[in-house]
Amino acid sequence: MVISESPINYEVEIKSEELKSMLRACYQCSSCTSVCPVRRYSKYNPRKIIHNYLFDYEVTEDDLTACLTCGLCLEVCPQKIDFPEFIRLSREQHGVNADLFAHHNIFNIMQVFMNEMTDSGMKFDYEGELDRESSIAYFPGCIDLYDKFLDLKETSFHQIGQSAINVINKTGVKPNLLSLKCCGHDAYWTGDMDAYDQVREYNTKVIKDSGISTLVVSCAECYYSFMDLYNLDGVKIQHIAHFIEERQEKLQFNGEATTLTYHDPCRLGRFMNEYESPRNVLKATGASIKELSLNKQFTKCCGVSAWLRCDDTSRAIMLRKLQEATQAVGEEGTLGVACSKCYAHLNCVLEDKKPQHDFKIKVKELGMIVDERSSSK
Amino acid sequence: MMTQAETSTNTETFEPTIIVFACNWCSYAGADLAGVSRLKYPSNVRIVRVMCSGRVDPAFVMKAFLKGADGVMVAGCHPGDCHYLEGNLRAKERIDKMVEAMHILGFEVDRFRLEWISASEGKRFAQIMTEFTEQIRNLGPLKS
Repeated sequence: MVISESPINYEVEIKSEELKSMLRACYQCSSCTSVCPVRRYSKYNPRKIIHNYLFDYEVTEDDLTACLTCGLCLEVCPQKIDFPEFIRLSREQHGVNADLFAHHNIFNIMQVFMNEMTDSGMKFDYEGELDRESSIAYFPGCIDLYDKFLDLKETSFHQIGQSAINVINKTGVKPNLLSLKCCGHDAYWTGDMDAYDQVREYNTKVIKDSGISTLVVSCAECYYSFMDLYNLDGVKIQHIAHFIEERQEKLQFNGEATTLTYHDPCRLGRFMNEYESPRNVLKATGASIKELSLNKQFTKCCGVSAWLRCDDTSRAIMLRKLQEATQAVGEEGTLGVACSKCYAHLNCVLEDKKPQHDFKIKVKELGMIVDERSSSK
Repeated sequence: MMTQAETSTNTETFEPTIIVFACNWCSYAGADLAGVSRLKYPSNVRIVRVMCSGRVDPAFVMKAFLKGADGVMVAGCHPGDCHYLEGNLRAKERIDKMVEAMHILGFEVDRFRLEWISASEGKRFAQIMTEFTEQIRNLGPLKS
């Protein structure tokens, strides 16, 4: 379909021994390349990058930035070579050109702005019953900022947080709306460790000081960061899917029959091995799930990671995802996602119509689906 | 290397650094008129000429703050006067959203202003700059 080649900006000249040692086990079977979602629409070739890196051939910035770090290659690799981690560490060593970020790099600038210019976390404005003393806290993530900088007329990101709070209220819990900074996931995966360390330090301090026992998040990336990257002893981190699954007997589902399909976000699925909870929640609402042709650990990524390089290749991957979903549930169906980023990217391509397409499928976040289909008992 | 912005914030009496993104057709011409009319306005103001206020991305404003500006202003043609018909309206839409985002981040929005200054308003240009500089001086340095 679309072949994209961006200009080569620099060559990674110095290859580190430490990173080479990560790759030495590779025997060039090319399994990674055969599953790579980027490979489908461009000349990107993980096998060749590993080869070139090991034998001191040319590795370019293009090679480092086009990777979606979705982890599908790691899933199929017989030697379990952590290619996403290799990409992350090389980004950390060589840096990423700011021009390669989508939306004029605004989200990265905002991350730095958040660290340097303000002493407080993000201020949220949500309706619903909130309780500052509650031991269960909710953090919506940076979704409110997407509303301001992504020019989408029909998609509301605020609604993700509002729905989650509605659902939490319906289970009889008044959550403490925690004012944290951004989780730092994007800074971590693009190798901006200064920004990442700063937010992690701040967030850890706020979470520890607030004395909460459970932190509920909507976004798969927040869940992954708080669980895997942060060191939050004693605080239980729950994705909204876990929270609903645990308390589903307190919700009254209207049980209207509908057919959904579900896309596993890479951070929730392959990284954290959570495949069943979101499906259980969707089934509990009375919906029947038709799986995508590639599902669970073999789900292809939604197309963009960490706001890096939203180009023709990314758009082609997104359209492919919509096509898969349409095949599974038909034109008027709904694609459920459990990650604010997947929700943003897929809705962006749906609304933008660039490239031209006529998909009519709806993309909804898991909390929104549950909120629509439930009431309190 | 120290930037001009950094040196001026370190002096004892606080002299703010103010970045003004002025549109080529109205506000920059307005500044020019203020100059040729020999009107006085504070030297804290650094003007960046852009072809249209619609060219100013929220990222520019945030970056100006990050690089040491104490106040930032975006100045464009009055609504309806834009050389490119609706560039300034787009600027307003974009900048309003940016201000809302800054509220979410918890940043003092007093340090930022969007003004419409036409080419004939040299006097108004000088007046607004004096007023804005005074406002930022009262707020104090952004990073202490």
